[in-house]
Amino acid sequence: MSVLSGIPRVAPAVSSRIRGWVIEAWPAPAPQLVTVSQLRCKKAECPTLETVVVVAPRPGTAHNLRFHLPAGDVTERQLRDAIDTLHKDTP
Amino acid sequence: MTATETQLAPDQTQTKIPITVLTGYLGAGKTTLLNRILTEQHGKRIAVIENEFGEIGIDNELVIDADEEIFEMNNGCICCTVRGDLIRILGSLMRSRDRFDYILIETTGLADPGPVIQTFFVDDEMQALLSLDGIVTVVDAAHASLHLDDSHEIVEQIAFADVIVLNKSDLVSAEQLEALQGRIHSINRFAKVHHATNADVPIDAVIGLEAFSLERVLEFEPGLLEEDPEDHEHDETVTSVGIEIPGDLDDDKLNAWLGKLLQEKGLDIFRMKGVLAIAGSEDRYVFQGVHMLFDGQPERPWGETPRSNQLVFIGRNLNRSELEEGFRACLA
Repeated sequence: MSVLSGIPRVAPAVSSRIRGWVIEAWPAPAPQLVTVSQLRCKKAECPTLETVVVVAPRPGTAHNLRFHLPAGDVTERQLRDAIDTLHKDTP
Repeated sequence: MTATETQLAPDQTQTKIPITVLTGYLGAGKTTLLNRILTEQHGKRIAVIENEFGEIGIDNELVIDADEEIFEMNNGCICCTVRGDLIRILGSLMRSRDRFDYILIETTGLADPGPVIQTFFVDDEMQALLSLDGIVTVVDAAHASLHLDDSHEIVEQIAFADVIVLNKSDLVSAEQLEALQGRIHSINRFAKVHHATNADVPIDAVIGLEAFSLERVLEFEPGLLEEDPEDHEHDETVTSVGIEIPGDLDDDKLNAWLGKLLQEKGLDIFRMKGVLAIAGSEDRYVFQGVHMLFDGQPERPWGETPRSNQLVFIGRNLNRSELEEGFRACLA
């Protein structure tokens, strides 16, 4: 995919859906901030489009959850698995 | 507050709210300019987000205090830093959007404008509801020369600016002012510079710029892209480079070059913009970027205008001949 096609925007409905899943799956208290973005890398070994979900449980702390998929293809299961892995790795 | 409560709801809006980011080194006169904007008869209801309370009070009921909170967003290859505090605060603010029609963000004197701009580039909900109008940097004409050598913050604030208010101009001689303006020009030759005393610049010189509108990118001023021999008199590590090459560009070559450039030098490229003629396309392709983030789209057709490519970089350790050579190799 071309760099020239600019920043790949996430549809608001997709972004809201992913944010909702994060808030549901995140151990209490609910995170203060969740952002959903797509990034495009030009390297041959990288997927064409990746989704990065940034979760900030509180000011000053942020975790990046990465999916080698467009945002619209990220499933709730994948997101929950990523959150579980994150909490196993960073107790 | 939780994420569900604070973040933006794109379906609540019809028009985007413009945002001006006001930067400047400590004591440059940002708050004076802010107060001037707030008290001017422009008919706009302005909400203010400020990162520090200055000695001068701000007479505005919609002032929100923010603590600079920077976090990284990356996928391993592309990395950017965004301002979490702004995403949160703007989310809350947009729920009372009937109370204002413009937003001003006053950063701290030591703030890096990069994360502020990247926040608006990368966050889709911010993009949907808000439009970054421009970066206005206030420079203290009397003291800036002292800081330019040892403060990367002041250099970056100048580099990112669309408009520079050279404040306290009355406190220096014409020669000193000219020398300072030369240094500013060698860092960022694309920003408009206004001389001011007590930040007394016309309001339309600092707000309503639409500097981040892709259409505005088409308005390169004649001669702006030509190399200025006077720039060589200043030994700045942060500089601006303008390149103009007639002809058509090969899409694949351009993609490969630009992709590699952003990956390798993206952290050093503060801002870039351009108008390109891509072989096979009737429209001008306009783009702008900040660090590794790049946004662009086809704009109006070339028509009878000779097809040509204009490219502008502002950044650290830019190598003009390397950039020009790489760009030229993208010709079809």
